[in-house]
Amino acid sequence: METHIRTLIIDMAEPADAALIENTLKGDESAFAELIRRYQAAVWGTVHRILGSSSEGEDAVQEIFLRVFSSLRRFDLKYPFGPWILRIATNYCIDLLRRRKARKYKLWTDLSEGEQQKLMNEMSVDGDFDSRSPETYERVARELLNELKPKYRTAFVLREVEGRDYREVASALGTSELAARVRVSRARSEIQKKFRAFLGGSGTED
Amino acid sequence: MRVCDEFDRYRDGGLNAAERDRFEGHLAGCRDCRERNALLNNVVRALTAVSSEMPRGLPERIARRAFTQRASWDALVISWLKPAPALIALVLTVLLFSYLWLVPGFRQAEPVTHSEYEALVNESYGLNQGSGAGQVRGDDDLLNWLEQEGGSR
Repeated sequence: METHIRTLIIDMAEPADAALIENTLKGDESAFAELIRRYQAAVWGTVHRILGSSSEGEDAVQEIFLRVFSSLRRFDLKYPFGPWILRIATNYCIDLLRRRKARKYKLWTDLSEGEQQKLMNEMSVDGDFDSRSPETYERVARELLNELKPKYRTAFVLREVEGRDYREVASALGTSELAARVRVSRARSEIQKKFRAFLGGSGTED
Repeated sequence: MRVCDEFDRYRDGGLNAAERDRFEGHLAGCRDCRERNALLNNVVRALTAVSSEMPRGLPERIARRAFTQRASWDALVISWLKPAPALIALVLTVLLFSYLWLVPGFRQAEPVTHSEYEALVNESYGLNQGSGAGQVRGDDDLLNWLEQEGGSR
């Protein structure tokens, strides 16, 4: 009941997305700023998780909202705004990943082979990580994600990291739910394959 | 169906209680599924553990940029052009025109100007007023004469 009343008060106090969109189209800059404010955390999080590079993150978020702005006239107000923005954001990230396909990252050159091996072994066992900084484990996870095709990587992040349901994942990727499930499943298998390839490459498989 | 094939349904929470128990029993004995499950858990944990801070004032900056870009038509045109291809196209255009200008065959013969035409007409009238030979009587004669005179010059 209390939640319902709070939702009602928020709804009454804040203009709906549709009103902000209409005002933006009439030339109200502050309405567009408010629209960005509502969705920036979601877009920022998705972009950061898919691209992984914080230096690219801000530029990417700006480009995504500029694309939103230039396509705003084509948006059908009958539909919710969030999934539409998510789709623009994921398309942008996939494009960017395809363009930078040739680039190879090796983010752990500062670690010895033994340390890398220990790190990877920790990644394959459930339980708490050791005392290393969370950034170190993020680098390992990124290294594995970087090996995935952009469409698998994006599907994996949306489903596994952001916990979105398959309907949302499919909508963001512009595919069917079945295709979204297949992409997530392939991403899961590929991550394990890349992980094993790394272990094999370092020559110390158990 | 092999129990390993239930892996995705297990990850997605699509198994009922009995199926889930069966799969978790399988996990204890299957190294492949156990490793994959732990690896995915750790990848997800690692990716969510690090948060990046959003820059302040981002919405205002983006909104300003969006409206500034819309206001300026030249920025819109420039935005259609990618800088590198546009520069290459410009350089190629300049080179092409320079080449055409330097090759003699490409330059067209200069047309007869209006004042030259008038001078020829006056000259023909002068001839008419002189000797009777070669008199110009009509437009056809005038055109014939102009062709001859123009060709001999």
